[in-house]
Amino acid sequence: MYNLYRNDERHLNHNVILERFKRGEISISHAFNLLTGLDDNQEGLKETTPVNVIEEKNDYQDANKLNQYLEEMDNLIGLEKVKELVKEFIAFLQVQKIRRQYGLKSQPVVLHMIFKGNPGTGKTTMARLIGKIFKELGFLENGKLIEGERADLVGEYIGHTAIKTKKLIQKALGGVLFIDEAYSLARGGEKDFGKEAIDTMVKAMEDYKDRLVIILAGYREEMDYFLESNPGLRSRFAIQLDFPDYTIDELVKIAEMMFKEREYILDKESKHYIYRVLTQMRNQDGRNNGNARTVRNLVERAIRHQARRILQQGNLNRRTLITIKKEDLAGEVILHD
Amino acid sequence: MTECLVTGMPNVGKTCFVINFAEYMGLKELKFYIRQLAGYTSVRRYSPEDARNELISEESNFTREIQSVKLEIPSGKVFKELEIIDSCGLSEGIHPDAEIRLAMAQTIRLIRESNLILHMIDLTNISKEEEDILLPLDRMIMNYASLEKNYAILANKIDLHSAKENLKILRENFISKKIIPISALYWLGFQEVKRLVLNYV
Repeated sequence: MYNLYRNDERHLNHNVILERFKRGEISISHAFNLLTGLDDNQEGLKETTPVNVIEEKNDYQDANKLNQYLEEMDNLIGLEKVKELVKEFIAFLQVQKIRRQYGLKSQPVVLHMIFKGNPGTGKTTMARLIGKIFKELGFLENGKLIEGERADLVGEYIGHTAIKTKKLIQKALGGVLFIDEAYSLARGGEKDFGKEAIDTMVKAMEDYKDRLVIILAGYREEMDYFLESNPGLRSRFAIQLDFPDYTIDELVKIAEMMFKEREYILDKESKHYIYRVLTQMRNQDGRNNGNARTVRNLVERAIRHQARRILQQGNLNRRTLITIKKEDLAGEVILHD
Repeated sequence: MTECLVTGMPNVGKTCFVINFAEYMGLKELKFYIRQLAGYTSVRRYSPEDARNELISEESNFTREIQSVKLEIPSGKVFKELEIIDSCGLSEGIHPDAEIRLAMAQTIRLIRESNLILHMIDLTNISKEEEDILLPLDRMIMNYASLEKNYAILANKIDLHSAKENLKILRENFISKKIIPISALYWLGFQEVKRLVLNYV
């Protein structure tokens, strides 16, 4: 137990040094000197280590994995405000944990959230990452993401809804329960079973507040209305994150990254063309289209088209295999996800 | 799974060693697991010839990603996995390319986490005239990596002129360290490397 904490601290120090090296603030020799110095001083660390370390389940945090997830988050394009907020929670959780180790008072941590934004703006991706990060911080047991929607919560007959909702919550314990289009739970008025699902959920939020993060997601306007009509919910979901639509520039960057991940490159002409395609999509149906999911469909379709084209042309080499041309991106524009 | 990291300065022959050693261990097709900077792992398949053509270069810092091959080692009735990790060469100063700095930082982190460190030193870099027979960075890698118990030096380019003499100097200076002379290019000394890594599987 004692060792565990020391390892932790060393891990953290290590990461600070490597982080500074990555940013180009210190040279490799400086970094090595610091790292080697640290290891020599291991014995010296002992005296400053707090004695009252409380052993907790999952206390051992793998700072390496945490950093990996943070990197993953940083690599997401756009979403700057959301990232800032998430980093704030992470700092808060870390400090709470260290305060506990020093025997100081710590705030109860309630991290249920509302995600507001159009489809394809990164809500599910962010929820999945948050789950993993919270797990590494020792706040959640497994951090896995369980997705649900109205049909997974609401039953057809009286009495079914509570059971269905409870089952889903049991499944999500230790992780994140992500309810997409949550506002649909409030449609249909007083007699609708959606209300029962909400009540069951609220109760579970109290019962399992240390073991579960519930994220309600949906369109901005609908979610605002939904929360206004359920004052109890609004106060329980203190954290609200706004996912704005990506700009066309960001969408192009996303497309380029997706191609790069799959080892394809865009030639000059297709780079210009993709701007036009994306602008056109955005104009056709602003709310549901022209976001990251549409871009992924576009990318995957282009890869299929390219495969057909190069097979027909019959000139297969490394360059033709990785190049996406303008004609691969053409074709009818998808209107819906 | 046992993780074995091959580290060292740029252009000492890390990638060449990993490919040739994997072939020596009997792999017909090399599956390279590449740890992308974005955090996921992708796989590339090569025949040993293609791998040599594509991945090895005289350019320094040609390997920018952490890539690894997995070997299955028979142990009794089961197979155990050995992952040989090829890493980004560590070079002096502050590298101007942020991607390379990131890859170097990953490499340094792996020095701590791997089960076995193979520190590859170019024998032609050994110099009797200087104050330290090692280059400063090689010295630092050694100081840091040999804090871990499982550390060995692969003295590469034994086939070159003057290498034999330098090997002698190296051995005299580091009597307590495990030193294996190899030629990554001509497959020399692989038997002893095999014996060493099998100890850790």
